[in-house]
Amino acid sequence: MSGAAATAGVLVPARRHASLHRQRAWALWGSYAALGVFVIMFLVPPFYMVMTSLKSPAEISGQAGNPWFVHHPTLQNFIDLFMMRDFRGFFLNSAMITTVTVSVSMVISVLAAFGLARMGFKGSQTLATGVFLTYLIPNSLLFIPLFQIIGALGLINNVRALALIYPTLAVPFCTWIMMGISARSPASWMKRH
Amino acid sequence: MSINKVTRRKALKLGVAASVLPLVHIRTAGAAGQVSIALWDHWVGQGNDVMKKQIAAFAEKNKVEVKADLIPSASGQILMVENAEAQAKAGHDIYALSVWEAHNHVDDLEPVDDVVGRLIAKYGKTNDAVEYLCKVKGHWLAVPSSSGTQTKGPEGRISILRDAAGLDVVKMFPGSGTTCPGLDAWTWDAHLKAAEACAKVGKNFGIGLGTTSDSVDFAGSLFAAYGAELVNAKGDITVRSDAVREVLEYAQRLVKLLPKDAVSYDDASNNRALISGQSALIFNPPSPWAVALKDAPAVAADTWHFPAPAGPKGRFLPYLPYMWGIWKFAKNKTAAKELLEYLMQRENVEARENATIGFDIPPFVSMLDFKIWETAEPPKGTLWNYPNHPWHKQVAHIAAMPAPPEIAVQIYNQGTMPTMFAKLLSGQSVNDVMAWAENELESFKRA
Amino acid sequence: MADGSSMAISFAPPRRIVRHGSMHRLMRHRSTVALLMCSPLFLLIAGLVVYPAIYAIYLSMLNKNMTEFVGLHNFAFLLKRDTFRLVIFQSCLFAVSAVVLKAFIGFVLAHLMHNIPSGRQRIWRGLLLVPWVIPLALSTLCWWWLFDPSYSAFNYALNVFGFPSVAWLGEAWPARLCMIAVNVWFGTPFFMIMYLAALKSVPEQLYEAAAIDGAGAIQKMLFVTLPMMRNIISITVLFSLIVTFANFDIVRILTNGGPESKTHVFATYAFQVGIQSGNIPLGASVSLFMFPLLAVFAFFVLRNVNRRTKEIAA
Repeated sequence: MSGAAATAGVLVPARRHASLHRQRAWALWGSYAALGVFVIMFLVPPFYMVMTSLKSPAEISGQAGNPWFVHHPTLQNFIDLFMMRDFRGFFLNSAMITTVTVSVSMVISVLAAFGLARMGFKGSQTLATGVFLTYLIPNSLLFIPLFQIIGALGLINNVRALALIYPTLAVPFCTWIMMGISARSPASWMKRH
Repeated sequence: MSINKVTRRKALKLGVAASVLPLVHIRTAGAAGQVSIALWDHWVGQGNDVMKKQIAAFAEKNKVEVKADLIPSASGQILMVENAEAQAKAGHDIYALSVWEAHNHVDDLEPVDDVVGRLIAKYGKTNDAVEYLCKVKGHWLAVPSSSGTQTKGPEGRISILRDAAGLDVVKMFPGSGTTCPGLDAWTWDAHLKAAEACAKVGKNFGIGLGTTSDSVDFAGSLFAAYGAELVNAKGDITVRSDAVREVLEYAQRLVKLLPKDAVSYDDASNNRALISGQSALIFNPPSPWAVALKDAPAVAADTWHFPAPAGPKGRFLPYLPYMWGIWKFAKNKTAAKELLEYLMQRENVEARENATIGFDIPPFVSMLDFKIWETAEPPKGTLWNYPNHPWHKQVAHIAAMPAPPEIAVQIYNQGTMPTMFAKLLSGQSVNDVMAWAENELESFKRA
Repeated sequence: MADGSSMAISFAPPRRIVRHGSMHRLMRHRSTVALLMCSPLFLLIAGLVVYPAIYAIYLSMLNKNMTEFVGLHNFAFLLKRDTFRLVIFQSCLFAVSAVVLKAFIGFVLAHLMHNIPSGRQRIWRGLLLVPWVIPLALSTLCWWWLFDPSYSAFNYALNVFGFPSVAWLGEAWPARLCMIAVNVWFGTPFFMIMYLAALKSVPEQLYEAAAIDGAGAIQKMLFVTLPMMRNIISITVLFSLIVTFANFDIVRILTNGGPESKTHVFATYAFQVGIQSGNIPLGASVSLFMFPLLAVFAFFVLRNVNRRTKEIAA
């Protein structure tokens, strides 16, 4: 390094710093603006959903006036929904299935991911690829054989069947994500065991 | 069918809810056996309630344990479960089958000649469409049901048809009695004229050119009225016939009068077109009227149901039946047959009929005199001409009949007929459309 | 999902720290433990995916009544049909353009998000994730209302500004674009979140080093960001491509394949011929049509990912 370069190194950053600062501010506000535009675009359908949920059936079937706003807002739809005896059952079912699916998928994929990524054994790489490839068979095609299996297990028309099906569909992808995480977890963790 | 779509969307709205089957489990003291039945989840909730009560009574009387599941036709669920059960050779004993499904599962269904034979002996003949769809090679493979069975005649706005098209449908097809003074004048030509007049005042006929069943059933009725068959009963492709050309020439004029969005119509679009007051006439069962009673009372009070228009070869009413089949793998066929026979007894059919506000059409001609169609209102008598009464001189028809069912089912489900109309609308010539259809049909034959 | 990019490094080969004596036994022991840990996954996959998959492939090789084995006849038959060729074109158009757009917009969004201070990211991320959180069938239903030709909310807005109405779902090209738009709307948040995680894991030193070398923004992007994100991009694109090719809900709800079958994709067409028209083997063939192509594509993508992983690890 020559002295000249060193002097330049001291002088230039001062000027550059100011412009960089301005540039950063612009970039920041530009990012906010662009994100704002995307958020508005992304939220149009949910907004419309909320609006529609506040309309009465008569207002919807009337097909008149500005569809983007509610002219006679009503909470009747929500009241009806919560008063529906079945709905509570559906809601509980959903909550239960979700809980089971998440916990089962987590346990299976964390275990497998750790095994595949950190304690690699012969062929673990091929197996990991194979796990991913299960997605190549469209779900829609799995339902007939799945029905057979569920039938053989005596779980037809049983909510519990879903607790078996949903994790199956979720686990391969979870495993892949978890493999990344466990590969990066501190190696010292291993040594303690 | 309007209802399928409406409930499909409703069910989708409930999201996961749709995937959980409502369950009715009737256990009686000292039950000797067990039988399970998959029922069509009726869009009129009371219909399900009455059905449940009847099944409970049956279970009590016969000391059988009956497990009944309601399966929505929403998003094709009833079809999917059915196919899965047929493949897995496991599931319910009795399954509610729609239109083509007896033919789709010839090898999986137990013949029910005895049950249907006794019912026919008691209640007389069914209509031809029922026979075509339920009877395979001389054997009844399913018991025709009323639950979900519907016809799709015209459903029109009294005032608009009168003021714009000069058709007084209430006078032509009165809401009681056994004569229809306006029947002879109600032809496909009259239909075209009315469509034109209504289109002029901005109330287009809400006829779809999509591929869902409402569009297909309408096209089927029009084809049949001109004696036009795409494939004849022997299985020969008969697209290039004068009759088909005549239909296409008619359609060429009609499609221009339909709503701009006709090609993207599904089975809910026509309902909404009527309920919103934008349309003068649709072809549908009375479900939009029933919905309008609550959401748009003025429209409901101005709606009238009447027979299909006639063509040179007769008057053909679109008919969409449901039936109950017993799987070959069923564990308790005796109880299944008893249950079906019981459910189709006149008093039971009528009780369900009253609960479903006359939506269901019984398969037996002798049951078409139920009071509900006379009393339903407003306007009084609007449903009187909804069922296919003998004096309407209509043939109950399913599109693509009388083609061999394995070909007909494809013509029906892939919407070949309305697609031909849609192609006319997009500017293709009659000859182009015929050539396209011929090519499609050849592949249906080979598939 | 703190660090999606780490998937890139997931294939680090087993690190053999000690290679002699009693440690050998430990190694073997470790493999056994690893195998045991993976066994629930393998059981699940074998029972509920591999067996059904083989069954499905077998199904696609039967005749209509499922009484006879016909080999690849169903596929040959399909290829001859004009309608099916249209379905191939539409499926490819749908899947490829949707995935490219999702990846691109997701990439841009991730960068925008990365630009703003981390404290503020949470709320923006939450808002942008909304489309991904609503069940697809439900939100598509809402889109259908928006597009609905007779009372379209979009058309209402267009009319207010003096533009004529558009038959969104009534003509082939608008309908195809609508399908793609809905898929992009639904899938972009997933890409954004994956790419954002990847961006965060790019070591700041690399950028500093690049800056010292005089790299501008574009060069940083080309020579630092992109290479560091290559694996995550490959994986997400592959995954999304597979899933998008199998998409059913959007087309089924928006157009059901119409007008004139010009919006059918594999899944909806398979449903029509398989379930509705009672030809299950043919429907299975339609569903499996892309299988060989996607399998080959997936094989190469995953091989490259593995190779790069090894390079990084080496």
